[in-house]
Amino acid sequence: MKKTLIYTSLALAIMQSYSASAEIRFNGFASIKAGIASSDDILYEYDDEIDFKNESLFAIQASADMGDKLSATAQIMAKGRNDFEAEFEWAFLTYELTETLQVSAGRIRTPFYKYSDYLDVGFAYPWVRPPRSIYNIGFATIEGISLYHSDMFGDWDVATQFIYGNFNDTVKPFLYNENAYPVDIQDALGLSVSMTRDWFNFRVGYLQGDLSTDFAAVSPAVASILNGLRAFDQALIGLGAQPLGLEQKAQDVEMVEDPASFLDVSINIDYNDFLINTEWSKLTIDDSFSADREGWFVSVGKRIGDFTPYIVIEHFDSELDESLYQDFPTLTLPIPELQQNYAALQAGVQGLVFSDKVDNDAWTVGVRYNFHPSAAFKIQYTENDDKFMNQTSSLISFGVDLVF
Amino acid sequence: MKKIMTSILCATALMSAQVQAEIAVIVNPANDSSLDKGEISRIFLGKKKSFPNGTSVTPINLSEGAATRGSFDSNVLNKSSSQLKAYWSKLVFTGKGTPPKEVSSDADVVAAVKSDPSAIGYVDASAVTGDVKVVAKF
Repeated sequence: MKKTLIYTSLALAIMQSYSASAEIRFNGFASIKAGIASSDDILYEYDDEIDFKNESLFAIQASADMGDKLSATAQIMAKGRNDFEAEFEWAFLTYELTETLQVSAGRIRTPFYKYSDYLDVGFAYPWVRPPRSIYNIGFATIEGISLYHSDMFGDWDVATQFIYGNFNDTVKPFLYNENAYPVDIQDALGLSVSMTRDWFNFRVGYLQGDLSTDFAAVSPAVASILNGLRAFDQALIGLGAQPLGLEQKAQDVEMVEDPASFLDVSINIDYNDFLINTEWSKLTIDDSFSADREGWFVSVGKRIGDFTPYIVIEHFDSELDESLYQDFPTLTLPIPELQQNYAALQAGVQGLVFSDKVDNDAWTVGVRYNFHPSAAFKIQYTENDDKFMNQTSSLISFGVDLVF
Repeated sequence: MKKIMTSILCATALMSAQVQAEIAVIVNPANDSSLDKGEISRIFLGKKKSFPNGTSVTPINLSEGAATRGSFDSNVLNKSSSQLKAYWSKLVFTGKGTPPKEVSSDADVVAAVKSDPSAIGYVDASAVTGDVKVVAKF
């Protein structure tokens, strides 16, 4: 409610500045995309019936230059996967402190990845979608402030962004999660540095924050494990036995204000119409059942007139925190029922840890065709090999990206 | 038939004339800056916001249909119009930059540069008048 109010006021501010004859600029972008997965498979939210809604979107952005180095920007986006319900994707005020330094405040893009800033602007990249082995964190914005510095050092263009803020929303993270989780991140702090010289770009991004996710609210299995761990100690106390410190175990499993960190490195080359993009990232959420996740991709394309054929190879895997179920305190009880319960709890935690297991290869071949200066048609074939589940699935996706 | 041939020939001649036409980069006569190709490119890509003497710069672009625009994009900025569209959408949709103001003809560029000491534009060399100063030719 509070947020809506803020964005409405920001939108009003933009409207007002319009009436006060400040310069206002409207830009927009849209994507109409369709996909169909191989028979009986599901890949990237597509199944084996063609779908035009999942990745289609429309957005309009209004930027008002209020003079005296102050500007307001609001972007309203309607995504097919949200039934085209329009939402403020971002809304912020920007003040130019100097020619090279600007500060923005409001709802801004989180600079996780190389393509984070224009994740939804399909026209800005060659693929139908940025490779999912990397681009799989289920949210892209943050509420806070950003300092952006851009200058030239020798032959290098160097852009540095510092952000601070909070995040609170429901997200669908990673490749396979069908459930949406309420995620809360406090004190998110991030820095990204992008260096460009002629045809070469190098970028590194780092973010950290305190992450809370109420898995128990979404998954009854998680709720029963957490309740079980806590109840077990109480049961032992009731029997006059020593508690095992399973409250600590419960806290190690659940995700409450746990330190999360994210690192992303990318190298991008645009040389003689050859396009090489490569990116690596790692996400760690400490003190929880969550695995460390690591992914990378390499994309090679070539501009040939209006066509850009490309191939992409990707990998995504996770490293489980197996100590979480392995070092359960040993317990020998004269009551078989309780002993069985205890073993079930340990097995439950093991199951939870393994639910985060990912070992995944993918490759893509596709082409982008600029059939209009402001519009591109793209089609690509992606094959995904889930090595953990021993399952191969594929997806054909195509669509038009435009900017206006 | 002859007529068709002639018009094809004329069209071809016109096209090659356009390709070979010289582009003049122009500033206000009051501006004493000298600029190289790299600096001009940076100004029109929004990376450089002031002249070497420190005064702020207002680049004036030609609109997309204009013939000189195409040769400026490919010869000076080394980018196709699709690449430039993608480049600007990256900046526009992140609030990090706005593309230069566009006018529709060489005469409009000359007029804008004439009236604004901070302006820089480019026109077909034949459109240059005494009201503006040429800082580079490509």
